[in-house]
Amino acid sequence: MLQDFKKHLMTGISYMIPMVVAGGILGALAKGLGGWEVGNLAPDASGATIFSYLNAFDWGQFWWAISKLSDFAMSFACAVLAAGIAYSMSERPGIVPAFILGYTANQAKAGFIGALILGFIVGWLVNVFKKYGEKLPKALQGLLPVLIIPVFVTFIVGALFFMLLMGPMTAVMTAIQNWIMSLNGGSKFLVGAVIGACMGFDMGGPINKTASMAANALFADGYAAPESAKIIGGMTPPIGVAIATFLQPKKFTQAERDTGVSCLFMGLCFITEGVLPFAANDPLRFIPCSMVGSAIAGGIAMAAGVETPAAHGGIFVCGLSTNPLMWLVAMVVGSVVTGILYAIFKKKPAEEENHEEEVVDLDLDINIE
Amino acid sequence: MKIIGITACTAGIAHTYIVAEKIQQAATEAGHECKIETQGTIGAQNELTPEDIKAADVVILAHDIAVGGVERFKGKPVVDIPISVAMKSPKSLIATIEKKLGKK
Repeated sequence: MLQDFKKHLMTGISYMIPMVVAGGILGALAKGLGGWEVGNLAPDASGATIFSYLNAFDWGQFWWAISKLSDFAMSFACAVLAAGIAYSMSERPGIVPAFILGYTANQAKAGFIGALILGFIVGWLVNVFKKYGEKLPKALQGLLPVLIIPVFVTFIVGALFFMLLMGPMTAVMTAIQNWIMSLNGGSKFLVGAVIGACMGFDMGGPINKTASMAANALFADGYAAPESAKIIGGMTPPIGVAIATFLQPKKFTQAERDTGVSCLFMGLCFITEGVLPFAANDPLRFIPCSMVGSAIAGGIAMAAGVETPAAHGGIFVCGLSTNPLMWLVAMVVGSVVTGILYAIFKKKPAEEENHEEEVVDLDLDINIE
Repeated sequence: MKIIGITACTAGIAHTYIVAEKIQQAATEAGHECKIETQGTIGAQNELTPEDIKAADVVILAHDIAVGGVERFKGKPVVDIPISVAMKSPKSLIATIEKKLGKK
């Protein structure tokens, strides 16, 4: 049950990530090249659409138009999240109602949490319709996916949203946003450190993904500072490992030293997973070192108020942040802390080069589909 | 025996491929034929053909997110596991499947 819940949620997030990345990077690009006030460079808006009098060969107007692409992408991020969740639960018929309702949640400022809940409700209701739909006469069954489900599920869940859910959801989202935005230096450091520590805990596993999700959600709602803690905190473990292999080469096997080099590059690209060979072989020593470094990196980034308007991209989005210098400082300090700690705690390798997996019986079911 | 499977992780850029390789390696070492389809963010790669599926003795689905095209495996024995199981213990995975299906 919980496993299923996680799978649906992860599917939604997985589908949402490219959307948030596209929106975030294009928006940052538009701000970077068109100026921070790019939103004011709009062409004459008296035409039929906001693009009617667009002169795409005018520098300012061009970047204004690109910033619109980014706005549209961000406003659809919640829709894609809801659609992904419903798709995972109920396959194709879930996509459309959840897409509509996810967008509605965004427009109603019920944000990410609203879209998430609506996605689950839609997925569940579509499954109910599918189950009872089998009892319909054959002639009507064709209508189920093209007419009955899109119209009725959207109507029912939409009505439920407006009548019952909208009020509380909007209040919760506003409260969370206000809380995070009102944090002062010290508590900002704490939030950044918590996000960072989660990122450094399981290198791409569920805790890491939960922290990412929270940062992405806040970003989709327009608050980009947690993204800094997330990205930098996820970059320091692999870079830190690389530093440790440079500091204490004798403590690592040849294979580990080679992996260390590729870790450096994976770290710079924000692929925390690169560090898994170390984390899996030596979790008790490695994970605390990695969490401390990531927490410090995340804390510095948020305390310095660095906002990174992008969901992924590693070192390549550093230049898009509001304070590239502190961004780099956070990254370097966090990585060096992890590197030094791990270089100290790492044990010399045993005689054998390869750690063999112990073969045990796993508890798994084989079902005939 | 012939093992086929699908891997899919949340970000769809790293674990999907690491785990595919781990299963492949463990299966080959144990003397099995193996083909794994990866469903990353880029889409499906190394796709399973109808012939692969017909010849397969068991299907491994290692995933944290919904995978596409499961209906292709109708009537096949399917092992459904989270990515982490195949990540941590690929050899045990293959050994357990051997035991449960009672063949080498």
